[in-house]
Amino acid sequence: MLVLITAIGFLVLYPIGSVLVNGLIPGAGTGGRSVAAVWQTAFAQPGLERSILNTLAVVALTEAIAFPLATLIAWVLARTDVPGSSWLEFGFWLIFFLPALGTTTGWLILFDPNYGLANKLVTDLHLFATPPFNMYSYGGIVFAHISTYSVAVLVMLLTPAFRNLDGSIEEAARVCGAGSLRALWNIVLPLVAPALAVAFLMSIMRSLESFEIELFLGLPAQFSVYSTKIYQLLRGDPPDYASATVLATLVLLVVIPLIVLQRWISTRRSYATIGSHYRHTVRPLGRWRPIVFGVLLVTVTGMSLLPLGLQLVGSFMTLFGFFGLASVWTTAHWSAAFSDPRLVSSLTNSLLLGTGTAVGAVVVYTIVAYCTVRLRGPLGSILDTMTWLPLTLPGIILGFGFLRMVLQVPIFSPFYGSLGILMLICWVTSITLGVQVLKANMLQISPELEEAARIVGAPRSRTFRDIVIPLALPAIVVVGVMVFSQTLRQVSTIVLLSTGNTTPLSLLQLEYLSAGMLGPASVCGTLIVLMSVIAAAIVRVVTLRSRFRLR
Amino acid sequence: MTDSPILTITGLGKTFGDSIAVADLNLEVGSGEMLALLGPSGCGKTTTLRMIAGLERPTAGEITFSGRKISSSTESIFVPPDQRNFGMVFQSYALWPHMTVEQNIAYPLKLRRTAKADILSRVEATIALMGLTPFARRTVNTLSGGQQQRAALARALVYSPAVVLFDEPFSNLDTQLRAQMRAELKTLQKNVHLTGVFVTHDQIEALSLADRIAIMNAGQVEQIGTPEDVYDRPVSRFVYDFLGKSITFAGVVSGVDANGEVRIVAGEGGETHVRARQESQTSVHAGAPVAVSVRPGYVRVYPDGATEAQAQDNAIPAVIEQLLYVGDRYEARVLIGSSSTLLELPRAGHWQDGQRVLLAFDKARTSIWPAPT
Repeated sequence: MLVLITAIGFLVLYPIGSVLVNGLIPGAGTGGRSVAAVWQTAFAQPGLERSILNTLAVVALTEAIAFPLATLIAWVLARTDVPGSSWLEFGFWLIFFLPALGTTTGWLILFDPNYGLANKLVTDLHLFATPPFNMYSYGGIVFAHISTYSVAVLVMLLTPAFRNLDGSIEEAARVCGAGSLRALWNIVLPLVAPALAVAFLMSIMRSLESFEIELFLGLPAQFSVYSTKIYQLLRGDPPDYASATVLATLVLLVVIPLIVLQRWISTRRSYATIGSHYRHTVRPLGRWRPIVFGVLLVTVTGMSLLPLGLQLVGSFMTLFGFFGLASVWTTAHWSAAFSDPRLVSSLTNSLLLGTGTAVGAVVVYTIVAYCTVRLRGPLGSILDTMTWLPLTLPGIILGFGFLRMVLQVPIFSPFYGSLGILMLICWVTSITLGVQVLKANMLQISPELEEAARIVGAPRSRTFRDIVIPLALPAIVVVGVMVFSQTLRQVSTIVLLSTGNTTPLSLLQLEYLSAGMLGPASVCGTLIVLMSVIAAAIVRVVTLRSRFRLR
Repeated sequence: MTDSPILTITGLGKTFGDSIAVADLNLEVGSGEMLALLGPSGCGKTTTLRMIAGLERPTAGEITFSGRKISSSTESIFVPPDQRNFGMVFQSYALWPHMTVEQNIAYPLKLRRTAKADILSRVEATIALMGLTPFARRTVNTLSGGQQQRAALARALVYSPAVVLFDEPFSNLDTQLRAQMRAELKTLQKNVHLTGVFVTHDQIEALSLADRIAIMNAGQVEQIGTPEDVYDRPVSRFVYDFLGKSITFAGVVSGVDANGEVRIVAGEGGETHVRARQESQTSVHAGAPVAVSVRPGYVRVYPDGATEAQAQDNAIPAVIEQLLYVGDRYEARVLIGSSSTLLELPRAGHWQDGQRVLLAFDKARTSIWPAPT
């Protein structure tokens, strides 16, 4: 038990601690110079201040658009009779798990400044004299943020919060004479304000985490944010560790208070939303019902199937996005890809990495989730808090911290650049979501079921094996698939740790994209999506069959 | 209780943070005995049961089973539940939803590495004993409440545990099924020589099933004894009130006889004399205000002036304030002096609002308690 807490604590806290200590305390990392001097040198770096301002600009505009939009969508999904609301909600979960690079690549077919179909359409219709859309820009980056995960994560967090709101509270306000909108403004919003605040903070932290979109779209436009700046500093020749540390420290000093604030609000928010005489009411949409459904359906597919489909289309195009060529279509990228030893080895790496991480994760997360659910006293909540941290930490900083750990801690050094280290960090990255899903499931298992096993003579370990695991199995399987697909699309956390022969598919895709080789990149992106889908399908079939056998 | 108890609990205590759930609890359970822990919710009875099971660690006291200490806070002994070889029937039944009825019942035997053939025959026999044979291969979620209850009982009995613990076993069943299961358990207990402790807040369950009842209040045992003992000779007002309905009226002690018999004046204008035995430990003296109680089952109601009423030990006049017809009987609110109390009247008899009646009862069945302040 203590070993588990210590191990997780080390893996989560060491990387952060290492960055902070080196950023704030003079010592080995600063080469004997004072902290002030190091910070001065860092800020003398060209573009460092610019990158911080750019980061803020991206986060601000993304939130300004995504937050109201997602609040509205979540409210419609939770409180109205829109058809298929649970499927639509599930759609947003899917969007959240889609690889950002893949969807962004897909969007290029529509919004490339030179050949984008949308640009062509509006100029052909003489709506604009010059092509208005450009993915390689500040606006393009914000658009990519909104469509890949900003809206999705908010909808995921807000829909349950709106759903749990006791309907009679709203009804009471209506009966007292408040109009529909007035009831929303005066009664509903104050009640869900804590949930909104938590979701908002969470969404900001996700925005800060973004890396690959900025690297891919921002580089051609000379637009860098802090995460791409850190990457450039470390990938420069010679790498500038000191400046990267300063930048990472700065971001951590912003993020850590956000984490604390978010935890603080979410632990004391239970006061209002869920009543004991819980009543779930839905508002009839009337004749707006099909229209609202249509808009939501278009939004969900527009954020998921459309860009992925476009990416797939792009992978079969002679020249990505060019529909005017003599021979538009080709399978050359696919055949070239599979004869390219780099892609084949990346594919193998991805499969090994995904499977290894998923298997390890499932074992450890299950134990951790069980401990946080059943442990009394402070140990359980310490463990819980530690599993929360990785989700809220920007991937590039976690990766940087891990890089420091691998270089500084002797037992890790021999494994520098190995798949094992990549597995370890992917495993830490996914711990939050994995443990949360398992925890939610295990809270449903009545403690009496375990107590009954103890009484009839089963020791603790046997109870865990015979009662807890079989009952939690569906959730365990889901978490396994989730971790697998999350690992496949991982970029920011592993980009600093991977070396030539351990490059997974996602990093190869990034490489192709950076080199402007969009065709091969689409092949990589499509393969990543395909593998996730296949994994999910296999697991679905297997679990269905085993459930059948149980009967 | 037999001479040598199989389970002995001494000075048992449990605190959760600042709140005291159980304090200095002492109990003995004899072999083959059925002991009920009866009390209102929050009295600590479930906590006590869970400490016996080993599901809660006591913060004070000792539990000895068959001469061996299975729990001692001073000696830091705590035998985990799986090594106590007890059985337990949970309030929620706690049947494992991923197993069939058969698998649920076989699991304790599997843990004991019983031979396969042996498991099969014992499971089959227990399932038959509980009348579950047609449902053996079903998953437990498809069973009705009563069937689940039987399956839970079967799982607790199949490995012949030394003691079976019941946590509100019938509280999730409807009234009819509850009566049926009570009868079945009573038969079963006699047939298999079951030693059991069961927790309940239902006095009828306790009175009908238990060999002895421990009545608990605020984490302590108020009284322990046979059902007749605690029902007829309660040692405290709490026990008296908890164990059923009573007709209670106010009076003033007029004298105490040498043999312990108490004379009280009560009724309208304090004109009627009532004799009672002294129940509570606190001695009463002449002039002390008291509450006089009698169980409704011991009260006969006569029309005013009936001569046979005068032949009884006690006969006190009362007025029917309000009469409610509830089918097979009447429920009457009657006024005795200035005390209002509820009474059931038989269908046979012509009762009406405002009628004057005589309530007659034995002095041996009459209890007095210090007047509530």
